[in-house]
Amino acid sequence: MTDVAIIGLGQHDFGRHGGDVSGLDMGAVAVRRALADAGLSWEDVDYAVGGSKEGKPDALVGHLGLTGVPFASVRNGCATGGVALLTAAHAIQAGEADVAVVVGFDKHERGAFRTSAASYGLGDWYAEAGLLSTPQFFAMKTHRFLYEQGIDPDVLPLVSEKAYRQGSVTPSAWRRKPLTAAEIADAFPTAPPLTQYMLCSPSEGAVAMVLAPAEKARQLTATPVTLAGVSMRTRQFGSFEVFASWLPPGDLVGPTVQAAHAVFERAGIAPTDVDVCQVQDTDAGSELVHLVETGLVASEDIEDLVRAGAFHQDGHLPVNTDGGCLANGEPIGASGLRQVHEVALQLRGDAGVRQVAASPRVGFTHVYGAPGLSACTLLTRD
Amino acid sequence: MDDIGLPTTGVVWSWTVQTYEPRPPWTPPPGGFEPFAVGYVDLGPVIVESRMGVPGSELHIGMDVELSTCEVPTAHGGTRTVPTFVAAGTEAEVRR
Repeated sequence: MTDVAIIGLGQHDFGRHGGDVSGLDMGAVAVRRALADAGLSWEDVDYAVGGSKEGKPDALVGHLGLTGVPFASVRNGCATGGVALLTAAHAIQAGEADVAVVVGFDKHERGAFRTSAASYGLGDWYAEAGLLSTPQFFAMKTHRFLYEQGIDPDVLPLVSEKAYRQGSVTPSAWRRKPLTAAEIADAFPTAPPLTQYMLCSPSEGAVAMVLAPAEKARQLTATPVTLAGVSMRTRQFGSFEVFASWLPPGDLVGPTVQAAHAVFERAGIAPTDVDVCQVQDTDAGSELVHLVETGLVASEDIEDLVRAGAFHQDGHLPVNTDGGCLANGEPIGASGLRQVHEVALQLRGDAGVRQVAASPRVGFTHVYGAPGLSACTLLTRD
Repeated sequence: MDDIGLPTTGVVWSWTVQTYEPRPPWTPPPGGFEPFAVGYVDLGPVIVESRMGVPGSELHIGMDVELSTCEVPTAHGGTRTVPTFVAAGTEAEVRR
């Protein structure tokens, strides 16, 4: 099987851009930037994959060029970006493509995500009873995690404080204003134990990247980043997911655990080898839950490590150096790729003021989406 | 498949409060939106998600609760009865 490399990165700013900028517009901007970064043009692309909840990614050919390129569209909830990357990587690995573009974009309306109970296999009763709300899941999963681990909820503002500080040094981020832990803790309790600054919001944005076989990559760029592994898993029986109307008793193991395990095993890399990472921070608690579920951090250590600043940009394991979903918002199609974009920049040494010291060589990303799926990647530098 | 009876008492496994008006098809009651609690209750053989007839200020993981019912508006007019859980030992049915 052919190894895959990332040879181009591009992004459209995240945030709220007004009525003149559509999801497709943002996606096209991101693709053009990624191609420019790779020194290639759309005519060179022989496979494309796009992910979006609100939009139709393959319609981008109308913006980019009617070359007849195969263009798959992916929809996997918040894990969409990771699955789009997986799909494109498979084409390269199978020898079906030499230049693959992956793009993710979304432009969500204001307010909470609009979901359909029926699309999750639930009846109207679920929504009418007031249970069809994604923040409820994240609040309850965080609440349970803190209880089971005996962790004081006052760690949560520290996670958000880091996110907004990193957002303030990320020009493409949405939330650019740092907030103190006290301001975060004292904000409106949107979904206890989470205040409004501990929950990400739907937003707008786009990210694209160009993939190539590793052999070709070395001819095209001085800084190829190897996609050492990418995995995706859906839930198995006995996991706690968004819109779960019931749970079995006993240990609940989610798809994050399985997807992370699979990618480490596939790449032959251990969690302790990771130098910089991104994990899904739908809410401040989720960042901690996912650090544990992916095997990056032991549950008995996580509280002390948060308080010691271990996950800061200058810490032992920098997490979400661009501010994550908390500072960028959550355009569903783009977020999984934003994570890879940031980690790839770190491995290239191109993260500017956000650059983690000590030349990171191994990066990891994790994304999770409803109704229970996760995608993880491992990136390495030559 | 068989129907099995479930215990009507349990322990709060997790909880939160819905503090803003949900999107349709959630329908506000005649008085308009008021925050309501939701949670998961461990009944033993299964953990169920439910409305909670306990205010957020009193809810805690590990609290003993018992089954009750409440009426919620439906999207097509009228109401439907859904389960809720109240503090164990409560006599009155919660009407919220």
